[in-house]
Amino acid sequence: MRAFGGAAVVGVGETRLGKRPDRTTLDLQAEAVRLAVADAGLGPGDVDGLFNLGPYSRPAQMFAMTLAEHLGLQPGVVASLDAGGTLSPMMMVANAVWAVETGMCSVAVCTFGEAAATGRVVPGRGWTSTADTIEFEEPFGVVGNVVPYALMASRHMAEFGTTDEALYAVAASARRHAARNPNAARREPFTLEEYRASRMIATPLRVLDCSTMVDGAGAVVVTSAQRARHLPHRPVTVLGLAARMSHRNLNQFPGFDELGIGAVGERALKMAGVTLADVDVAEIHDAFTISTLVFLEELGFCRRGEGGAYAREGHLDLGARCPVNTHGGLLSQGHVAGFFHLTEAVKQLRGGEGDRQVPGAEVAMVAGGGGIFGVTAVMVLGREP
Amino acid sequence: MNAPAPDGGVPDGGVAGLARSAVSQPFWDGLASGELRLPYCTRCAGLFFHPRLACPRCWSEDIEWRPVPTAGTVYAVTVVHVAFDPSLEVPYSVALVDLDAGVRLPGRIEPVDSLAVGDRVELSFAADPAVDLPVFRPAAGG
Repeated sequence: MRAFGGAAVVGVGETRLGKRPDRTTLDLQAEAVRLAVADAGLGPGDVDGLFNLGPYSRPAQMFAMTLAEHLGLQPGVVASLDAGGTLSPMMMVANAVWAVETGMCSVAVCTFGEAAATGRVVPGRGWTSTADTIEFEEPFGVVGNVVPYALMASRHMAEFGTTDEALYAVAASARRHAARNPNAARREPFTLEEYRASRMIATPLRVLDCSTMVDGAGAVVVTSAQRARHLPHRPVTVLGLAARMSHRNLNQFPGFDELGIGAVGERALKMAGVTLADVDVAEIHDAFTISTLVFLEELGFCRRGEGGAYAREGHLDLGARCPVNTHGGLLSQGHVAGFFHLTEAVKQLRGGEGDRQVPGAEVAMVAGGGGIFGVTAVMVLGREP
Repeated sequence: MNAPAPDGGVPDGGVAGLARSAVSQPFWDGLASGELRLPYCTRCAGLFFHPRLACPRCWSEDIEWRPVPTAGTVYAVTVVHVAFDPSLEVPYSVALVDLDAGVRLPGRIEPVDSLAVGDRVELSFAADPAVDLPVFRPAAGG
């Protein structure tokens, strides 16, 4: 049996995104779990595994237990898992597959999302600080996520000649896709001129280069491949998964060509038994526009320094050979730590996404990052016949 | 020094008041006395940054603090226009600087917007000893 072949994703849940001040992180995750379990054709009595992650926007301990109790569950496996940024959803699914394959549980639900727009401890900032990482960043003014990504963007521009037009091309494509997604936070298209007139946050990144903070959560349900065949949706399976950590502190950034993103992609594709040319749709980390450019280049969709041209030529758009971020991504749909990259990939493989469906999509790639290019994972997913 | 905020967030004094670790105190003491000091592993004979009790290459605990030259090259730089913390005055400029000594250091840039990636810089010791952040300025003649 192939790796990860013993279990499948059989349900997805996505809450409404936006400003939802009447919902806590706990409420949002619980809602996503209920939606996903219903989507799988299952009920609360079926769930005996739960993976989640507490909010980044305020401290929380043992948040998986909090959520399990809130949902009236007494699971055989219950754990919070922080693999860094948008890796966590993928690593939750990996753990869910392993837990099902080993028989520790039979139905595992994975969820993340938080009240990131309205529920922050520190107003105006994306995430709280933790004392173990800030000594050589925050006191210097490397605060939040925009400033460090802006530093990386400045480096990429100097090293590879990347322009603001390249950043715009990524942002505009995500927005065009979001316009087709009723659950996207930002749906109005914008021109290059409007982009250039938008507020500068930290050079070279403008507000339209930044992801949209939202309240919301996503969830997926994993069960055995055998049981999956008797559930309502066409099962989606993990074909390949690889990851690598590079650094945590920005002063340890090794250079774009030393991050290992390309090798991670190759390992995941090899495990899946496919090549990049077989990937029909890709959901790629886009906390900031520069992130998408780096991932496209390092994963081999285009050559280093040519991500901007690749985006300008329309290769990210629906209708291209391999559309990217068909849901609008973190940039325009909303930042739910990559969970909607995962759920969108599953939905694209099921089919039926209306005017943003990639016709006949059989292989999907999810590429995630955490920290500031500090950790990378690539997951390849496929649909069962 | 400000106490950590009870909720784990930024203390009332803002980011400049965040706690500094005991292990890196010689770095901060050096800046306050006009010297750039970095941890040096005597076993593998090399500097490293950021400070740790053991060398991240060989895990040796035989660490010395050595004064190093203050010249370097801008690796990455940004001008920040939004105050993500109330204690920050905008605009300000921050950079990653590759010291000639072989480590990469974060630092403020003054004057704001005076430098680009690849420019030569020199560490200038902070005028405000209460903050003691490394501040880089354009290298003389550079």
